[in-house]
Amino acid sequence: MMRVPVGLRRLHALLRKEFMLLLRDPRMRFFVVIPPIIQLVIFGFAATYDVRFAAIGLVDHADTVQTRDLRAAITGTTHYRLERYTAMAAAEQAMAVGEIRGIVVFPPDFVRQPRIQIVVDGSDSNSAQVILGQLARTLQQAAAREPPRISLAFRNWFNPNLEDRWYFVPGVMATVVLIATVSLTAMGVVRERELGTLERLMVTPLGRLEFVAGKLLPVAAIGLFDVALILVIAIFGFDIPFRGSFLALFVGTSLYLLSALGIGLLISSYVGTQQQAMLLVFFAIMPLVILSGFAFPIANMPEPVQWATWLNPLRYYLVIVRDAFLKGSGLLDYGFEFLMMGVLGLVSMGLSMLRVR
Amino acid sequence: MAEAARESGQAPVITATDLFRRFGDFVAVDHIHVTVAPGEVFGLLGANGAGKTTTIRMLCGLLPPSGGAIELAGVDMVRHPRRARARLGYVTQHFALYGELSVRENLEMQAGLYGLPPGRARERIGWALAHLSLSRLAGEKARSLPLGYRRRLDLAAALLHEPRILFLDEPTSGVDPLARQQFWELIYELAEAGIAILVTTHYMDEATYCDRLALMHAGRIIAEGSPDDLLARPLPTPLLEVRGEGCAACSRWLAGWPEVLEIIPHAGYLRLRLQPGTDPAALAARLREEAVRRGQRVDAAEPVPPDLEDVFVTLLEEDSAS
Repeated sequence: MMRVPVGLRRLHALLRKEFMLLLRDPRMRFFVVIPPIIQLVIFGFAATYDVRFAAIGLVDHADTVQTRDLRAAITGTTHYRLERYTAMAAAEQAMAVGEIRGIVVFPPDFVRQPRIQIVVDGSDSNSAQVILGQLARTLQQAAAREPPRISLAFRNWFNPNLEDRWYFVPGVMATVVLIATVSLTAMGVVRERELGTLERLMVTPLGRLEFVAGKLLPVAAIGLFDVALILVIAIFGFDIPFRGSFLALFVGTSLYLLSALGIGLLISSYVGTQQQAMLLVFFAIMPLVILSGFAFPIANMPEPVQWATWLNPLRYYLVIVRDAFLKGSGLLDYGFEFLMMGVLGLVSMGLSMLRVR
Repeated sequence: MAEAARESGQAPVITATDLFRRFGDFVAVDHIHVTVAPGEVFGLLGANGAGKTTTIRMLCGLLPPSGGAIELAGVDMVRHPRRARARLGYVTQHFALYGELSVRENLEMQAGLYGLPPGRARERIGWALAHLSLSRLAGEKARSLPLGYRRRLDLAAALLHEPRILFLDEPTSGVDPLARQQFWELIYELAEAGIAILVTTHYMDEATYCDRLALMHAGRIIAEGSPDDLLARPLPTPLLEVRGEGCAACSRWLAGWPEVLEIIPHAGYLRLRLQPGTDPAALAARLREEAVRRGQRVDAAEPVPPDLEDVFVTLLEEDSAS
């Protein structure tokens, strides 16, 4: 008979238990499948900086043929509906209460001195910029009577129509996997501590590494499953191109999971109850997501904060995921990202192993 | 049987020497010595916070001692905890298996954790199911078992790897009297098979089932011996038992007598602990006269020998006073 190493036999017993508990728990099955899909739908359809429809106030003191043409150009974009006001004060009032998001003003002497004032609602700074840019461009093009001497042709590489969805959905993959695996790891270890089963495990000859492997491998499997699920939905449901290498994504995901599980394990070493674990996971995830480049570019952050993001595994994984979808680079392009995630994972796991006895 | 084991000169399998544990400034276990021979049932008694659980956790290798030595079946627990753990079984105070797994699945996992080969695991699980009357429930989820059977499952899981040492931390707390009785019969069988058993308990009747007892107070062992040895100690406080319909009424005026140290009410009778030096017979006579004068019926008032609880209460008082 073949001799199986005793350590493997112990690990097998632990893994079998983990998977049985995981698959039998309806809440767990829900937790693994539903939140990723909900997040995808939210970010795929709802969360976008694109301004697709907005009401704009119009104060036309001139009211000439030229201004009529310009008004037609604005409505012609199909993104804006114009609300006419006779006095500037009334328009300002409408913007203050949120009925309109910008005001276009044509002064009375427009024919003699063609100047246009555009006012936008800066309380929503992203939309304000988008609206301002689009209105300015539209009006400038419509006002140019003769062809300009320099003609600029724009082309956006990798995302030709600048669809926010192309930018966000790959990011959702990274954040969803982070949330799922960090909380599952932290909760899984803490639950055993709460139930007293951890103590029971610790009086068996089970080694610390065997225990950690037994707890983490099932969570890693869930993480990979979530990545695959989101990948399929992104490619076939949202028509986002996948131009990169699956191998690079797989290696990147594995190292990312290593660091995410390390964070979860570290959290579990600081708390005694599942409630505390959940709170700490929440506090850890928020800054990780915000300071990752998921929504706000790292290059725009103050320099000390930029340095802090070096400790954030999500930052590296986002690069890999976005490139995998939109740019199409290969395995060899990510040596640095792989290294950083691997180091972060090993350090956080090492720290938590030192903390637990 | 334990007497026999010790008399035959069998070396102890649990030896804790000068065991010491502090948490910050608090000394939880204060230089205690524990030895248990194969086949011996050793009881560790004491109130909550006396240091029982800390002691048992150190002996199991869950808590490193601040000082002292632990040897289990010839293995140094402090230096080789994993090797020592393979020789012990531990039943915790609260059910510590997985409620969502069936009885058999829990046992399979436990067998795997001890590295039992599949054939051996099947054999041992079969033995445990049959021996602890769990066969009928093998497919049930552990969560759905009645408490008494859950304790049996806990015990079964601790026995699969044939440990030479068994630690039971209040194994019968919350279990009904009949199930407790059955549980102790199992413990005796295991002791007879040569396993050294260390058990902690709150129940005094269970204390009398042990071969040897140690009473812990404030981290120290303040008395140790067989139940008979402990009962044979001369008690400075004489005891009087009062029976009769009127005895509940008696306790009201008895509380005022200076000779009466404590009145312990039981169903249908009173137990009086008297001040040291009191003559119990004379006091009994006075008591009967007083009852007759008040027209309260007392059938008997007699000096009685102490039970274990009386002994422990006295020992704790002496220890607190010193």
